[in-house]
This record gives sequence, C-alpha cells and structure tokens, in this order.
Amino acid sequence: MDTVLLSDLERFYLVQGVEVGCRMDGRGPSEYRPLEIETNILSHATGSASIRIGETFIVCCVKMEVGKPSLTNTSEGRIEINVECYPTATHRCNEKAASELEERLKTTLQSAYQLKFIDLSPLCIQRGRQCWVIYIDLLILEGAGNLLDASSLVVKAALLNATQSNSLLLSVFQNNSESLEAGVQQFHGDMLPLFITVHKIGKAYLIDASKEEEACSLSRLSLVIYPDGSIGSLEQDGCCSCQLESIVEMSQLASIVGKKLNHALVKTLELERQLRS
Amino acid sequence: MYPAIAAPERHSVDYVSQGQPEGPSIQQGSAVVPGEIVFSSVASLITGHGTYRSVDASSTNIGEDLSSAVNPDTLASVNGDPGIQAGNIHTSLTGRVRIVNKLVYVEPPKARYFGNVGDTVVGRIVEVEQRRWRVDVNSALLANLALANVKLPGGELRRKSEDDERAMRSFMKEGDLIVAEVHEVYKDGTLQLHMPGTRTGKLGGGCLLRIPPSLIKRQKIHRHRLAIPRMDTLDGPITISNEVISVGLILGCNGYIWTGPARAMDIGLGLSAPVEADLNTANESELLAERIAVCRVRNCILALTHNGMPVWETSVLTACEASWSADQQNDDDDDEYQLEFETSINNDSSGSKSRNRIARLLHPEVARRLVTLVQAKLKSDY
Repeated sequence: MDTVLLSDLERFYLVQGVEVGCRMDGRGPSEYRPLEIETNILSHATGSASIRIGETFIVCCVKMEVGKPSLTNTSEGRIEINVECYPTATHRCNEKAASELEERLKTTLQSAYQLKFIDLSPLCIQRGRQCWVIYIDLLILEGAGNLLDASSLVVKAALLNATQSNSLLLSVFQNNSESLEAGVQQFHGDMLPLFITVHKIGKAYLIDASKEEEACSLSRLSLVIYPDGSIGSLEQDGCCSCQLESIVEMSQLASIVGKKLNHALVKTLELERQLRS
Repeated sequence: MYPAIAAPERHSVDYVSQGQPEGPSIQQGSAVVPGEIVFSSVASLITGHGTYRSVDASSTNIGEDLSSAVNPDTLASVNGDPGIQAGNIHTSLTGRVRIVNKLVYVEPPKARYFGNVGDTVVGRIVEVEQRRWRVDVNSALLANLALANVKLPGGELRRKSEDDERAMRSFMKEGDLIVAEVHEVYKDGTLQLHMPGTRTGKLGGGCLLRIPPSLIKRQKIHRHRLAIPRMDTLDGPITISNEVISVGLILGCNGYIWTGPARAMDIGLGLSAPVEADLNTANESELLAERIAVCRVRNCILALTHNGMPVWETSVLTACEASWSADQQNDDDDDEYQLEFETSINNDSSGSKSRNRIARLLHPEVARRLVTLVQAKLKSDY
C-alpha cells in the first residue's frame, strides 16, 4: 500500500499515544478531523459535492443519461461509479499508485451500491431497451488518509443534492412506505450507505486515520453503515489478522459512529438547503 | 495561502534612487510578479536570486559600432562598450523584493529549500548507500550525509573503516529522522550535511511537520525547550496546577519542524538506540499529560502556518499560552461553545457533548482567532 515513510521511534510514539488515548493531533479514538462539505458546486451536473477531511479533498459529480440496461436486470436502471485520482494525491506521486488506488476505491464503492435497499426500477424507461444511467464520478485531488470514508460521504452528499433537483431520484433513494410491508417498521429518509473504516493500532481502535496512522495500522475493517445503524458488508484489509472479538468491537464502534455521521450529514445538508432558499 | 509578511525596513545607503523607473517606485518589500521591471538599465545594482538583466542590443548600438570602426580617431568619445549595454532589471519569481546595499533579489513565499552553509536542518533518511546516506531535506535534490561526517556511537574519534560501512544501517536506516547542519552546497544544488558537536544527531519519537521554509524565522538557536502548562485530560474539567511539561522543539531552516518530548530530543543525540526502559515505570496519566502538551504545540504551529504567521520560539510560546487561556475561558461559556460545534461527531457514552481542547485547534475559525490573539500580543510586546 502507498504509505508514508516513518521511523521506528515515530511508530512507537504513535502507537503508544493511541493506546493512551491521545492521538498525534490530540483527537480521541472516534473523532473526525474538521469536515467541510459543499454541495451544488458544478452547474452542469445533476448533483455535485466536495468534501474536505483535514487535508483530504475529493470532488464528486453525478450525471444522469439515457442508456441501455444491463443484461441481468433488464427492468432496472444502472449506477456506474468511476474514480479518478491525481498522482499528487498519493505519497509516491506517480501514476501506478494512483491507478491502484482508483481500482480499489471503484470496486469497493460499486459493491456498496449493488444492494436491495436502492430500488432502481423507477429508472426504467422501456424494459430491455432504455433506462436511466446514474454516472458518479469521483476526483481525488488531495490525499491525507481516510479516502474511503471521504469518498462515500461525498457520494452520498452528491446523490442527496441530485435528489433535490431531480424528482425521479426521490423514488429511488427515499424509502417509500408503499413498497414495504405493513408489518415492517418504516424508516423515513434515504437508505444510502456510508463507509466507516476502523483501524486497529496496538490495542486501540481508530476512526478517521491520518496518513501516519494508516502507516502504523496493522489491520483495518471497512463497514457499510446504513442510516438506521445497521451494518452491510464488511471488508478487512491489512497485513495482520483479527480475532472475532476485535471484529465485533470494531463493528459496534463503526455502527455508533456511522449513525451519528449520517445524522450530522443529513442535518447539515438540510441547513444548507434552507440557507440557499 | 501562505502570504509572506514583509520584513521591517532596513536603513542602508540609498543606492536605488538613481535608477528609479517611471510610475510607482519599487521599495523594500514590494510585491512583484515575473517579468516586471524593477530597475532601469542605468542602475548600478547586482542581480540576485529571482532577478535578471535583459540584454539590450538595439540598432543604434550597431550604428555606433559601425561609426567607431570607420573613424578610429573618435573611439575615445564612445562611453563604455559600444556593442552591448546593460538592460533593465526584471524579476523572474513571484514574491517580495529585498534590497541589500547593491544586491537585489526576490523572496518567494513558497519555495523549496535551496541551502545555506551552517543552517540547521531536519531531514529524513530515504536511502543508505555505500559510504553515505541520502537525506530528504525538502530541497530540489536529495542531500548527502557522508559516513566520515557522522559521529560514532559513544563519541569515539577514529577513522571510519569497512566495518563501519557494513554497520551503516545499524546507525541510521531508512525512515529515521535526523537533525544536521549544512556543510557545503555543491554547484548543482546538492547539499552536503554534517553532524558536528552535541546538538545534532538522530531524533526520537515525536511529530514531524512540513511547512514552507519562508515561514521559519532565521535565528541563532533552532533547538528549544518549551515549558507548556500541564493538562491531564483532553475533555475533562481543568484542574489548575502550577506544573509545566518540557516539550522539545526543533525548527529546521528547511521547513521541517520536529516536536516531541524533551526526553526524546536528548536521547537521540548520541546516535545510540534510545532507552525505552524508563518508560515502563511511567504511568498512564504522566504519558497522557506529556502527549497533550506535545499535541498542543503541534496544533498551534499548524494554526500559525495556515494563517501565514512566521514560526519562531516566541510565537509558538505565545500561541500555546493563548490556547491554554482560551481553554480556561471556554469552560465558563458552555452555551456559546456548544453552539459553535453543533455538528461535531463524538462517540460519547454520556449524554453531554465532549469538548476536545486540543483537536479544536484544527478548526479554521479557531485557528484564525488564535493567530489574531498572538499577533495582538506580540505587537503589544514589541
């Protein structure tokens, strides 16, 4: 992986600080760096958003076009996610590291949007012939750690921004009560997922790791969290394994943080929409 | 993003009044862009870094040259060299003009470190070659640290042999942080480093910050030991005590700043492996208090940098004192504080919002307010 170069003493200092409870910049284990989200930044796109977490900077653009449906789901629309990464966003500043990062992010984000909670059948125009295709383009301009969480946040913000200007997307991303059964508890709002990555450093678990903390992390767990706190798919990465108790604790931590992050994101976008109108 | 603050005016002989062009005059500290004419051709000034003279070969000179060849007896009446005359002084960089007697140069606000002999630099070793280490010091090329210029562990003074060449990775390996001095600057821009005396060597555990080299004020002493007020928890109530914690700070002239416990600054001097056995006896509250002090220094330096303030010992200390005073003040104003960070995301088991005093320095508005306080305090002191 593309990590920064650290000395052994710096790693020891960082791991010791994480276990004591104070990170390199004074944050707690489950604190985010200052987050800035801005929507509606591109006038020619259906929805757009940009995000800054610390020094990580990602721009997302959502466009809708008429295209052909896939062969396996002829009565549904499609979501295509493409990731473009500047070489300067990686540590080694070359094309090869940027391409590896693009492929990993593209496959990970695409897998989170292939689930049953997103109803793509209203995007169908003519079965087997025409449908709406949602193109999501991500541009990573600066990388300072935690790219997966920032990417999922900016994709969700851009899709929510697209929902405001396009009423067709309301039935796709909002949870309609008619489609659910009467006995199931109804959750009002969107069901767009978020990624929460938990890093295991020493004996502690971290949220929103910076570049130095990613270099010291032996194992990390990326979870798909829905707005009601439920957990979707899990992806474990790193050069070490995890015990089952660690995975359970990391999942619980990610569920709590993801629920609060979802709530903060929706509330912030609602405040922004009120300020614009 | 990093505007360079103009240096105070220097009183020197006024060599520049003889070559003033029309329009607004160029003074000490004026902002220039590439291609701008700062002085005309009659000014007897020397171009430096970021300035150049354009070659002025007009047709009148060619005519004069032909006249001189035809009439040899009128050669004495021609002033100077008849072929080429000195042109105007242009700038080739964006920055501020500095005039030192007859030297005119430009200081760019954001540039790589180009090296001065005798500067203290903080670097990271990226390669180990046969007889030298390659060090990243934020310059255009990697710097060299020869084996002959490095003290042996234990301070032994002898010539280096092949055994020392084979043991180079045990002295310093890839990723290690060092503090060294610039010994020589080669013609191609490569820096040769050396480690004299007891003030240089390998650094222990701490934080490394990268800021533009123009924001570090040049001083005689670049190693400092700051006394930071003690704080035991990140978000609990403040217990006022008179204890202070010693934090080490090394301001490298190349823009790399190292900050960490003062113990780690002293352990790494002798190039030996730092002894971590005494850390086992220290309890967790001592480690946490020491780490909070280091994080406060780190976040204060970042706040100064992001708002264009130069970094030196007095400004860092003033920023730490201002942030510590703001912590005491913010505990009294709970309602105003919670309103500012309404959307903060904290995993808090209790119902109240936790307030992290060190991490809030990362917010842009808190950093801007802190730098305003620092500037006001420094201005009142001077």
